[in-house]
Amino acid sequence: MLRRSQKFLSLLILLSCAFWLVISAQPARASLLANRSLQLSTSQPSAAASHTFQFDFVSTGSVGSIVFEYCDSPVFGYVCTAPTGLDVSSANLSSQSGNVGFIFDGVNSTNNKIVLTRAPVASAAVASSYTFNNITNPSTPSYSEYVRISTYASIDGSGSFTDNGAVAFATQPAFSVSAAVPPFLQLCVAVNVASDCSSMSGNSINLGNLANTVTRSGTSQLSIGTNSPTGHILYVLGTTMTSGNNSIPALAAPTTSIIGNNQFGINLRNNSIPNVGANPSGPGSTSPTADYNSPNLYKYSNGDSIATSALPTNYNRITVSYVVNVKKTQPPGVYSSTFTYLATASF
Amino acid sequence: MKKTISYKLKQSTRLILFAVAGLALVTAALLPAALPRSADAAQLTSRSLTISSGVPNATSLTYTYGFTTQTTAAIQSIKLIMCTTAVGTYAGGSCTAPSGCTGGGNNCLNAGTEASRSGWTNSTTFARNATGGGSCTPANNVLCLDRTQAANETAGARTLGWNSQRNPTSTNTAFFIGIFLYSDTGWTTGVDSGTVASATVQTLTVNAAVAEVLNFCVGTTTVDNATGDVTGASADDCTGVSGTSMNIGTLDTSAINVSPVSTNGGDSNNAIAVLRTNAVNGATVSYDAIQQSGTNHQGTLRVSGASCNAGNVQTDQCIDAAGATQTSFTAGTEKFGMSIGAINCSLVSSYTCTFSSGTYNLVRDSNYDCTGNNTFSTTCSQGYAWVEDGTVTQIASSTGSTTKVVDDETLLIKFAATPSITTPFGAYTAQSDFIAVATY
Repeated sequence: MLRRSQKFLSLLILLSCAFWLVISAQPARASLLANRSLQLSTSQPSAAASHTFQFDFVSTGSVGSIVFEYCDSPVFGYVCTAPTGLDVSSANLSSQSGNVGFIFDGVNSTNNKIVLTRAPVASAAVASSYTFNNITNPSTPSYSEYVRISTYASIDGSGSFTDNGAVAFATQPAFSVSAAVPPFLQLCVAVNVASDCSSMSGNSINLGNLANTVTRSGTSQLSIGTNSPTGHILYVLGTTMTSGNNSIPALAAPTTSIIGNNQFGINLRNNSIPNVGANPSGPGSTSPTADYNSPNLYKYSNGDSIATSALPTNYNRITVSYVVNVKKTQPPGVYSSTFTYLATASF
Repeated sequence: MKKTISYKLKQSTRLILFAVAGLALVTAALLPAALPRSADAAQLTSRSLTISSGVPNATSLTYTYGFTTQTTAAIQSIKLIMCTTAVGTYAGGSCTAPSGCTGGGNNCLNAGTEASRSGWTNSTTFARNATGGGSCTPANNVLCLDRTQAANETAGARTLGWNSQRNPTSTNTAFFIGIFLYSDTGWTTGVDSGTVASATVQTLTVNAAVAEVLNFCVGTTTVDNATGDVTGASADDCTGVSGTSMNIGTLDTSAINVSPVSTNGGDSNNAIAVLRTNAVNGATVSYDAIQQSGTNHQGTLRVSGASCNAGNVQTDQCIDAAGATQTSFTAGTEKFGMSIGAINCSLVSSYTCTFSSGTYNLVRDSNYDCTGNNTFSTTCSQGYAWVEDGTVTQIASSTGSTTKVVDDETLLIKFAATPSITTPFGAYTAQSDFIAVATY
């Protein structure tokens, strides 16, 4: 009785083992790798690029290798034709996450196939990422290419794959946007101007009745900016104030305003004698030249440079003060003058 | 001999005999109607069997029997027997159960409940009887049904559906089921009967693969709206897209040049990016500013090779980039940027795509949304953005859309720039790399 029980038990164990072997020998059912994507660092044809693959492992069987095969079709059953110009043979696995422990298999990798290998370990059904540097993109522009991704129990990408899936990517030439910046020399002159020359008003100044007991004065404004690498020079052109053959002598050197003298002069500063003018304003680097840069000192000489900048300059608004004194012997008449401001820049 | 005798009968006798014979015939004809109905068996007509699947060994099926009873009688029990031949189903026939319907665990008929019915006079449903009796012995190929309902069922068409049935295992093989109705509850008094046939069939699997698709291209168009054909009707996809550069003309401090620019050297073009993908998880469109030669600000609108200063300096040959956050431009204050004027639907044919109603799948990133709504404008009230350091920056995506696949939706891309008065003169260029990433 005991022997029959032992025989039965032995038979049961044998049947169990056989059943287990049959079950364990069943090939794992291939699954589709989920959430597959391929991010290129650059899509330019023939460019050296890094390629980052992301996908979720689905099966949890043993994985010893992953194959990334670049083809002209994503369909695994089709013959794989390597994209023209592609070269992954020198790819460098720069990072990996999820299912890790892989190294680049230089023996089994080719120009269009990357094989990652490791000692076979059960994979985890998690999102995984693999980034390869030093890949030469396919050379055909504006073209779709594909990568067939498959996992293997073997360490060299041989045998039947466990899971697989494909991704697509597109090469794209660099896109250029062009524009031209012309030479700028922006100058505006008027009685009043906006600092960026966006508006201006007035083109004449009336100094009133001249007398030997009072200094007459007035102002105009100008604004100037340039992108000339060497800046600009601003000149004033015109005669002193005249009336027929009579004129009011211009100050040949910077001089104070003296009531009762014959004087005509200008400067570009804020003055107190008389109270007229304003200092230059704005973000630019334009500054008055020395003869016109002292408060309460006035000068006028036809063709003088009155302001300059040695650099490209943003806008500066400059106020020009006009000062006139006359002796009581100054012949009567209507005195006037026309001034032209001229800026030059080198480009 | 009989003939000889008849000739010898008298005329009157012959008349009597004829009368008796006629009476017998009439009586025989009227007898079935005159007598109470008996349980005489008749052939069911219009018999059919509808099975919910013809796949061999398929389970959880519903077998629906259709038949027309000839006899008005109570039907209180039914026997259904599945055999390999029709003859085997007949009363007294030798029934061989179809393959897969014999042996332990191979139950084909003897399970389930009533799943449907029609045409029955009485509403009492039938139930499977696991014990059976009379002419019905439950087996893997024999189903015994009964109910307690003594009232007659009027003769006529009816159906009876029974669930939890399983097909025989052999492929492309006919099988037969005999239907026997009984007026009693014990499968003893037969009423009508008949046989139906069906067959298992080889399943035919049609396989097809839809390959991963990603068509992406960048080019130029003179179209400056959300509806115009960006390819000029030359093609409805990337094959009709061309151009790798565009020109936004000569910049002036008094204006913001926004593509398309048709004066002062502008080429009247906008940029476009066309995307088609069947990726179920959607796709993104990104760009990165290609780093040009020179120092600092290598990815902005610049004079290639120029030495530029770090920071926002407006006297070097690099126009300040708008940055990652969308910003409005002021004419004369140096800036360069990009925005997406619209999702142009002119190439879409697979689904309804209308920019003005927001019916599209490829959605602009907020920093590259020209107007912040689905109203097209030639200038971008929300401003522009441009990441100059080469960081891959997403500008549109379908990953958040209800429908994530994209059929040739077109990003209408606008570039804009304005110089400062000190921005050095010269030819300025920005280069970008557009990348599409699809997640399958």
